Amino acid sequence: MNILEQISTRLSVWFYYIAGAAIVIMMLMTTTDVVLRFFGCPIAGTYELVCFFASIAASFAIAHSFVTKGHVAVDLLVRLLPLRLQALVDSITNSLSLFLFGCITWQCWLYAGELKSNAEVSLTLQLPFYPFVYGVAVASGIASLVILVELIEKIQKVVQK
Amino acid sequence: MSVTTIGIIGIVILVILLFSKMPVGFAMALVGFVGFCYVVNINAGLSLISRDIWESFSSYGLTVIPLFVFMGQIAFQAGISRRLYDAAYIMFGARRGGLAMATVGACAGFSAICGSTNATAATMASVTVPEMKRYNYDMGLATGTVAAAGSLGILIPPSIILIVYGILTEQSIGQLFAAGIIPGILLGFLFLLTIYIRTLISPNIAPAGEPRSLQEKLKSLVGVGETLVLFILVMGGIFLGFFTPTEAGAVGAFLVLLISLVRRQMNWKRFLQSLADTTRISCMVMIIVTGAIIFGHFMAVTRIPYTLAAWVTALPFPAYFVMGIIILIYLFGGCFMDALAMIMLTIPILYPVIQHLGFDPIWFGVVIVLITEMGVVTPPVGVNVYIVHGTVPEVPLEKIFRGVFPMLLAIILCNILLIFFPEIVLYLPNLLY
Repeated sequence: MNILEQISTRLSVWFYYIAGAAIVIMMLMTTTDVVLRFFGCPIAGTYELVCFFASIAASFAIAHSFVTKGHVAVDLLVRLLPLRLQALVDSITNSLSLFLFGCITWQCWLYAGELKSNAEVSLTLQLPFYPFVYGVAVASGIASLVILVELIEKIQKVVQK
Repeated sequence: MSVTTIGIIGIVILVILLFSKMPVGFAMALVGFVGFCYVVNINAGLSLISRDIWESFSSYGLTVIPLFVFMGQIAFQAGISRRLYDAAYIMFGARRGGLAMATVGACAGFSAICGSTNATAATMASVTVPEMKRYNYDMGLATGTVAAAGSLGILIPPSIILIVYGILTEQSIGQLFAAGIIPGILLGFLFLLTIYIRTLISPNIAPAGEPRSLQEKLKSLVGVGETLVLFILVMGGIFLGFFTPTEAGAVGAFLVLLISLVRRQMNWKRFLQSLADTTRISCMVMIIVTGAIIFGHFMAVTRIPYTLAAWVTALPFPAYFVMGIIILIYLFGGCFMDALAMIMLTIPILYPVIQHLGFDPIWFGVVIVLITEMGVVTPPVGVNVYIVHGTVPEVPLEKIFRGVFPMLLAIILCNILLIFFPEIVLYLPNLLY
């Protein structure tokens, strides 16, 4: 259990760093493009690359945001319940979240494979889509992992004497 | 079971999940996904989820979110709020209530580079409340002012909520930004008026400061210069069509970073902190938007939004009556839920109703954003009040809520004006587009 928690936390932090780096790259690339456009030589394909980096920025941060309770949730009612009941409600919602992210991981993985075999590429740079979709799939997998860790924790709290 | 019934069951389950503390974006995505599987078929639902997620994460429209959040967070870390306040303080400080007025002015200035009400309230509280305390201001007035004036952050562009509203309803972000300017300035003036009236009633709550010479006042304007230039560059670029909103966000973030480096107010640690917050906030926003998109696709196959729109239009009530009810829903919902989440949750259902009734989507966006944002200063979940309390823990929550109350009246008055005089919202966008 402890090892699983350590691994998932570490992975979520690494992915979080990558997501942050993606945002910095988006900023620098777009600014450079705007400045160079002013001089008549924009960077071709900025549009596509920014979209690709945005997909990394969003998906790679999901797991870490979950661990640090960064996702907006309404805890108005649950807060009033006794602690064990709170843990029970949390384990139910965590199971549902796990189911959701399990499906997302699975389906994004399949979708990436599909894009790969169809050899779909972006318009200007002819970059393949699939590596980024695999990225989203892996990031969702890590999100599933951190949700699983929290689920186990909550279940332990429920059954604890 | 008819698809409408399934849709209604879906909505009920969604509300239950939300109140069970499930993250809002997750809950919308889950209900949307399972509902879509049930109404259409499992394979369609499974492929919907991967495509919706990929398409929304990689859509150019959404790239604007992290960049504007980044711009605001860098400004937050770089002490720009301090300089804005110093300038406003020299301008207004000699008047009774002047420091509170300076707070409103500085919040308005900071709103012009930051799109979040929470960040505006947080950064301003730490700068302004200690000053007001030093000059023996009533702490209720001081904290209430900064908590409420933070709400200027969502009206004065850039505004993260208006960006997200624009993405979901396919409205121009440039137009929405333009639409927020006059209401934002109006609200700022109403705040100033409220403070003025309060100091007339009880002069002791806000003693006057020392007078400043005209020379000092003119000099203080330098501190406002960079913010003004940034605002004109970024917003002007969007309005003139020189930038896309994404490009404006990127250039804005870069310029704020550059300014703070030149002024030696940015170091590696602060930069990383702003980046970490940006990453977390952007991810949170993108997840909610994506959840709303998936949920919206489920709602579309149940046809509930259209059925509801047709039903409401057929009701023997005037359109304004229906709008009144919708506003009450937002008012109530905004008290319990984060404004962004509340808007994302309801837009897939209510937006067709608004269109059917013939209301202007730009006007509606600005009005509901301001209404739900009232929730940030009202109990039980007045986020801004908690944020201000966090920076000055010695002032009890009740005192801040009481101090906010007169400012809340100003927000309500502003809303009434926007509702009855839509031109306040629509004048600029019509002029520019």
